[in-house]
Amino acid sequence: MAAAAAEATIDGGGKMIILISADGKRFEVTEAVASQSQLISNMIEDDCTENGVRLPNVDGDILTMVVDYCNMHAGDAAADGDTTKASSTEELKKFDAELVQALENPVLFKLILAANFLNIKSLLDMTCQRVADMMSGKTPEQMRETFSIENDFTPEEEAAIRQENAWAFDD
Amino acid sequence: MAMDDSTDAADRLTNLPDELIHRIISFLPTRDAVRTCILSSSWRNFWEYANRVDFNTADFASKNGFASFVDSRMARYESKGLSIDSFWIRSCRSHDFLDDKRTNIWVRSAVRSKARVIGCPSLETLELKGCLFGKAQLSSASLKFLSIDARVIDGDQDHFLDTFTLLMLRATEGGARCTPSLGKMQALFKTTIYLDDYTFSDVSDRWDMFSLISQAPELRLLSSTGNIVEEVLTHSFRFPKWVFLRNLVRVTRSQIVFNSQVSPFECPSLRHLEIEGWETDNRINCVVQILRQNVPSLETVHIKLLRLVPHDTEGFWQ
Repeated sequence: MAAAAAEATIDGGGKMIILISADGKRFEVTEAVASQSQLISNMIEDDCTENGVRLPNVDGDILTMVVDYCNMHAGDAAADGDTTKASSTEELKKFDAELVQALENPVLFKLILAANFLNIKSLLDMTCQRVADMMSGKTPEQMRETFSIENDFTPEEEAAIRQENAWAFDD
Repeated sequence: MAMDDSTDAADRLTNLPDELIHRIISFLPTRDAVRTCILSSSWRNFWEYANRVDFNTADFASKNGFASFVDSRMARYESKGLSIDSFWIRSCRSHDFLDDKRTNIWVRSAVRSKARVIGCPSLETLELKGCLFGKAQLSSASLKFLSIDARVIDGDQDHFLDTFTLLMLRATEGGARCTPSLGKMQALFKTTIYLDDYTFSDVSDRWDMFSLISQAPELRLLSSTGNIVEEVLTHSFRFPKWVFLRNLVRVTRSQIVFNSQVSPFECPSLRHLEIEGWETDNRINCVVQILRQNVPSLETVHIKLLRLVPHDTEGFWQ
């Protein structure tokens, strides 16, 4: 059943791969799209994608975003000359910017974990950069608030640590 | 996993695996990265693992404060064996307390920590001696003097590899090779590369030393046996083996062999070339001929011939 679908090919002749999320959602993507994930790329090389690729720690809604991202970026890896199929650089930038701007806690962190697990470096960098942007320029208090980090230092401890690198705290 | 999925209030950031937190921290400006040390006890030391550093004097009130912070950071990277991906050191006009001597020490330390990108916008002189380069890329808008020590240490069969290792063209233990880059150094006007008689004694067209130096409008290659520059400059030079050309196959004392299958080298900004060698070295003519054919931008070639008797003759070719 799944095998039949997994063997299917599209017009371009690229083999299709089925990705199965933790909650059982199925995504059919080309090899070129899927192999942006180093994890899946290795599985393709080892010929173990025939019955679909189960991703037990990636939820369907997160995998939807990952697949969208990979579909959009499949052109990156494709031959440079293929301008018809590959998304233009402008389009890609816009897509990435919109995707990343919309990301908030907790989806952002789920996406980071998914990108890390699937080993998609560009997506991982983009999402980590987003977290850094959310931290940058904030006071430690604001950072704690943004990310619900509980301060377990006593005021004395905190003062002592500030003193160690005082230059970084004199606002 | 027993992570609280239902509420937005969970501290998902701190719950990420450490290496992901290190990655996030690496995207922060150094000052912001340091400030994370007081978020909570878990965050106490995460910032020390940032693999990108960007030191800016503007963040510091005093020269000593800046220097001791950079000193301790670089020492920490080296003692922990942590790799640095990119290393930047900046100075601003109102807090102008960078000196080249100290910066050179830090840059060498960054090189030892395998920094891939090294940027020092205000550095004027950089001496890299005995540095083993990885895939380093140097970037500076102000660098005027760059000296890379390419002397070969032993007479090993493979010394040529070592030479290139020293030259930023790194051949890793496994043998993977990459081309060095001196891009973005627009102010660089003098590149001096010290070579010895064994440098490039065996070469293939893979070694594209020319791209390393083609940014410089003035090029001086000196052959040396001495350890320090003064000594090099006062002692006799021998004509270095000119195998930095991309299509060069082999250089011997009597001939220079090119691989005609390979495209000719490019050197768009080279205008002045200085050659110093023994007057009996017939490779000089050969080189001048090749340059005349391949470098349209070349304005002058200054040939300084050294006699065995201590009396110099100078000749110009226009």
